[in-house]
Amino acid sequence: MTRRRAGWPAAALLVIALASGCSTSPGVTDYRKQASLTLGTAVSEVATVRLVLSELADGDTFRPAALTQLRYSEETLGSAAQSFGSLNPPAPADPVHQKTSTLLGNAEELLATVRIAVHRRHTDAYPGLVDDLKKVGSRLEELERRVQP
Amino acid sequence: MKKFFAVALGVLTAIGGFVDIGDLVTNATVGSRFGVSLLWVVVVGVLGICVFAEMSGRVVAMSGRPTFDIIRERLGPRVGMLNLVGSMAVTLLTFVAEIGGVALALELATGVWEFAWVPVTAALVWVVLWRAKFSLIENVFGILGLTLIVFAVALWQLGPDWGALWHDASTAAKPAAESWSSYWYYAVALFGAAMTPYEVFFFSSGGVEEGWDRNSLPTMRANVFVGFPLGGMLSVAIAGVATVVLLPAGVEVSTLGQVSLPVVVALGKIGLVIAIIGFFAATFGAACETGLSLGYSVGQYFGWQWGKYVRPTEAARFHLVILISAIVGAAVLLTTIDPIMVTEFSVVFSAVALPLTYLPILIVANDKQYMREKTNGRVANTLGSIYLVIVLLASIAALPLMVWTKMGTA
Repeated sequence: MTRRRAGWPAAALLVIALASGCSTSPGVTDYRKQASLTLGTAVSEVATVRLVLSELADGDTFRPAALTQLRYSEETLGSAAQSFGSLNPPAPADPVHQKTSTLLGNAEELLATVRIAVHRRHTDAYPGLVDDLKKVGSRLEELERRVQP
Repeated sequence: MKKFFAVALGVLTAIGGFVDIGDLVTNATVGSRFGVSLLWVVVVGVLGICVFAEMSGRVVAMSGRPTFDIIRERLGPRVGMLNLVGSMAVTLLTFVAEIGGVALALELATGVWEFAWVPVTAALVWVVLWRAKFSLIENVFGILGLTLIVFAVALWQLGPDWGALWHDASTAAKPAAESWSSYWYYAVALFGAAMTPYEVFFFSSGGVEEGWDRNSLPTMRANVFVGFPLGGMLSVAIAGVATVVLLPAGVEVSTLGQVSLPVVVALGKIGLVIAIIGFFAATFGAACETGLSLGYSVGQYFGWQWGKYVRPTEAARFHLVILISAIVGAAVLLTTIDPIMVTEFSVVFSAVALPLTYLPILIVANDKQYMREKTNGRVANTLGSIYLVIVLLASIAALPLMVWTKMGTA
């Protein structure tokens, strides 16, 4: 569950911090696990927003309901990305850190763009944004598979 | 004819009132992650609630007293207190989750922030419980809850591969990406959601409110054996649509909006409107039921005048418990805690507290002093004993699984 997932990395971080003398520096395997978990959350939220936007573009859902879900998805992704970002990556996991952080940042930016477009009723932009969401979703899924320990 | 309508109304409200926020969220979550591989748990859970609801209904019909009033008398104040504290804690948690669920449904309908709806909802629940008649509360929200049939219509409209669904359900085939520990964690959560303790609490005390006697047994049994399983079908439909739409899309449910997404995909705006009405009715009705259950449990334990069948001034302490519960519920939610998170905790802790609710029912239903010729027979005792073992296993496993799987995320 994504909002829950957003909470658990924070709890996991606390445990790691306590176990390692208050520095949030997990081992490579734990770090990859956290990256995978966070990317899983991102996959779910991007897929949710894609579904919502597609339905909105087809006139099959209401704007208030769509905006509510967009806000939740953005919050969930932001919270998960922030928890992941607060981890100190072990040196061998630098590539994982860089790729994951970059892609999460892209996903966050895209969700914000979607929210603004819906808020401003830029309906012409919806089909293009749906395509962008598909692409980012695929990249997130692929990276999630690759970082799994 | 009048009797037929009474039975039909009871069955319909039992169907519509079966689903609450725990069922909505847990079934949709499970469908989005495990497909229909955990449907067997819903079947086991629904049969379990039927077995114990029938027993507690029979206790009421034969003794004219609610089950938990007798538990205190039969098992003593210490066991009664243990039962009271355990059940009340879980029911209060469920009450908080239901109020949060109403707020989420209203947010989905209006776009207005959920926390703005929390005090409004808590106040509305209290006013309804204070002013409205018991039958009105039960019938209105029960009938409106039937709109959740929209999930079954959506499943049919989506035109899934029924053969594949049946195969996955019958073989309980876990998706490869999921771990067995998460599978069993969600099995326990689904079981807890289906057998929530407040349901028998409310059912039993509601029987006293409606003046059940031995002549009410056929109506009560129709409600239980027809209404509850059909209500359980709504849970199956919620998991089914999540399996068909959300699982392939990679969406894992964490909001009420995501629960409604498959209906939107299948039926568009009209489907969403009906689903939101269903969410509202199911959660508001359950908030009323859990609120009443809190008043019932405290009132019955301390021997106060309780219930909706007397005027509020005659059951002032009963209504005070409900008022305090509503204030506590709103206060907890206004800390900005996620209502979906509260719901998850409530179904898991329901599983933990199950033996506290169901063991005493089995004991009282075997007591000839209260039950006379309607004491448990061989079938009821066999089923009750089997379920007691399942309930104990679920209760023991719930917390370790929750920690081990980090609430199903590991």
